[in-house]
Amino acid sequence: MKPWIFLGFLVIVANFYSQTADALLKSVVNKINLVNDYKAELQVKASIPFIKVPIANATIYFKKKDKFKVESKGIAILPKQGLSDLTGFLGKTSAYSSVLGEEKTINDHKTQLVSVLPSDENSEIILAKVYISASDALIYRTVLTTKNSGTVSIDYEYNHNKQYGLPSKMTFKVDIKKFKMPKSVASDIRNNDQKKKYKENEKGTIILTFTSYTVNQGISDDIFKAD
Amino acid sequence: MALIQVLSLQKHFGAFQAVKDVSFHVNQGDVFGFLGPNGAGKSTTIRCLLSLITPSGGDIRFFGKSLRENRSEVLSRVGCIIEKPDFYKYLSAQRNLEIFARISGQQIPSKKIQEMLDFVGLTGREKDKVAGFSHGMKQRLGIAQTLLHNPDIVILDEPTTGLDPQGIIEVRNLILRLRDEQNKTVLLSSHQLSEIEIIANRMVIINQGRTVVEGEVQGLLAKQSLNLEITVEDPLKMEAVFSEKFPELTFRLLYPNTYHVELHTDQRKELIQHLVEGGSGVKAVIPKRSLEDFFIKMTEK
Amino acid sequence: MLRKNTYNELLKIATKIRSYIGIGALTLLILIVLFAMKADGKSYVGFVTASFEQTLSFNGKILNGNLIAFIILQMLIVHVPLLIALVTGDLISGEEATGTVRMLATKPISRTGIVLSKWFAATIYTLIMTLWLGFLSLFVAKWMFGTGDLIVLNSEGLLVLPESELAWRFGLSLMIAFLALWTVATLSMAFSAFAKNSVGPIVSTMSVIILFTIIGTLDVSVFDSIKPFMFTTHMAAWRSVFEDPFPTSTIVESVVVLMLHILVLLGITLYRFNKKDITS
Repeated sequence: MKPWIFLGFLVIVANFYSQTADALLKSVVNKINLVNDYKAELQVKASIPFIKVPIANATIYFKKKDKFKVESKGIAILPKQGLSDLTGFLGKTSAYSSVLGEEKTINDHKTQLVSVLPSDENSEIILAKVYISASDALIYRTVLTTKNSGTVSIDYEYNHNKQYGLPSKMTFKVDIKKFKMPKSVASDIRNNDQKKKYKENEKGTIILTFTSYTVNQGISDDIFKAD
Repeated sequence: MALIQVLSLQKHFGAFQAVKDVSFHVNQGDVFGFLGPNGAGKSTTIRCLLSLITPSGGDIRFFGKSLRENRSEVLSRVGCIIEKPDFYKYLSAQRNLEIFARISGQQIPSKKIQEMLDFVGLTGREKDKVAGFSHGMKQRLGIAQTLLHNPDIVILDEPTTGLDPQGIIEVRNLILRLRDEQNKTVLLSSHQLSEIEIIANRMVIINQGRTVVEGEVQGLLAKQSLNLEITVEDPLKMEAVFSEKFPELTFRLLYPNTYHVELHTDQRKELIQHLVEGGSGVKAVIPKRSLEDFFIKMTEK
Repeated sequence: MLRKNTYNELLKIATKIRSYIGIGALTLLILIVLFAMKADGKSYVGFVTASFEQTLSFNGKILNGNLIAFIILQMLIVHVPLLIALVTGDLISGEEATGTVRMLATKPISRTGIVLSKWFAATIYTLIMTLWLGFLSLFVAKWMFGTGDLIVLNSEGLLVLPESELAWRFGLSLMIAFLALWTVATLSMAFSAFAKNSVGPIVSTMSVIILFTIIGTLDVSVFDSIKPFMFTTHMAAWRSVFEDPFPTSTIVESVVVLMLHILVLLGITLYRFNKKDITS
């Protein structure tokens, strides 16, 4: 009899926590859904092994549900995961299950870990750990484990657009695989002695700073057409 | 005054001594014949004169100045054709002359270039590419190039090579005009001994890299024996004259009624007089190419 | 007289068909590259960024005129020397072959003057080829592909150079490329002074370049001591201009080595031509 009571208790507790995780996620998604479209100025600062790139300025556009575009005059290096795909991923509540995790303080913000597991086996994201502040329904950290891109960690800062869940700063840490030089491309016959040695588990950092948000002012679909 | 002085010139190419000891001088106003058999060192000597080749020893002086130390000044007063004149085939006759005019050391107006082309008979061919020129036309263009800057000395190395008889006559007449009308000094190297005999007043013969003889053409020839071809009507009377008056001379039959006799130049007039008075019926008296004989004698030693 | 004979030499170069073979070939090669890039440049760019595209996304106009210009320079800088040697290798030996050297050398201009005027003309021809290469690769490419930042792949990874820095970088790289080609021109002229026809100098020049390039790429320690002194090592110095931080000492070293080569080769040419007995 006792094992059955214990099991029942566990189910209730799990259900309770699941509901709490769902509630947290829902509070974030509700905020995100307040945004029909936005436009912002973006500054990209990338610090990645084997890549040297100056600070780039770009303009970012978003329109519900999943229209996303970055327009930069120069070359901007952005993370492949975690920028445009995360909100869409979290918005499809039926496509994943969530579990509440430990509490953690991130940059003076008390957050609760919510682990999100996609139901789809083919999903690029294998696991998303989302650290949400219950008090303001904002994500302060996300750690994505992906199939092909390794682990991506994203820290968020907010400023004037908290009410929409739109960050003022996102700091990405991405896994960098070993850089392979295509031999036929660079005919660099000078043997450089100072070849960089690849270190295992090297991480690259990309800092995106968002300014001059324009939210829900309407954006033409033409902007999202391919060049 | 000697315009050209060659003093003990030497040139060796490795172990081979092409010129061992050549000396001669050319006076102002001379048409100077420069003779020698093949391999004598003529071309080498002429190329030394024109600084195409650096001598191994000796000295070359033009206008009293050393060629080695005054090359630019000297060559600005010398015109030359070495063997066949070569031009830029992809350029026209006029363009070729313009190119050489620019580096002749003088300011030569384009009018002068046209005058030169007219002078050598290439009027109307100025714009034609040299690639389409015949050998004779190139030779004429070469002469135009030589005279373009009005040189004091003209050096011609085998200028009639490859020319037809008409061309040879044209070159001969030109040389004479240069001497007589323009008071130029000409150094002429040629295998055409008949031409040299006609137009040169002085000459040098070299052989095996050394000077053999140098001097006035006629003076040198006068010292040598004369060969005559005599055609007569009555050979018997001719023989009688020879045996009576000129027993030391020998004659030989060349063809019917025509005989060859070698005698001293001084004896020529007397012999003909006796033959005529003796009733031989002299029909023709033809002197053989005496320079040829002289040349062969000088160079077979 | 030096100035006048330089004009003569330029006239001769300008009226020879072979001078235009080089320019024509260069133009055709560049147009082919431009066409290829227009047709399928994106695949080429993908090839360059392939190593990073699993984790990173490259935004902006990567395939632009500046990248095309860089690619063209990289592809052609090995081949352009042959086109230069085609003309400059003929400058002295060509006169021997046609016999015009006799006419030239009996003029009041000195042997040194003859060589220097040919060398000045060769320099001008090389400069024209370099400028034409620069014009086609930079201006025409920019007209076709627009402009933007330049992404460069070298042995240390990817480097993105902002558009604002590219004008002086390309200008400097063309200057160094000119210096490299000038060295090739002087080398072929030096060979030309020893030959009686133009095939020898052209083949010899390319053989030297190929041989030295191969030695330069061999990772064998026995050659390490001579590599810094080979001019082919420094012919690629134009590429160093597209590095960050800017390798001033490397570039200065390459400029000095190339200039020294030019001076030595010119000296050899002058010595040879002055001493030469012209017997043809």
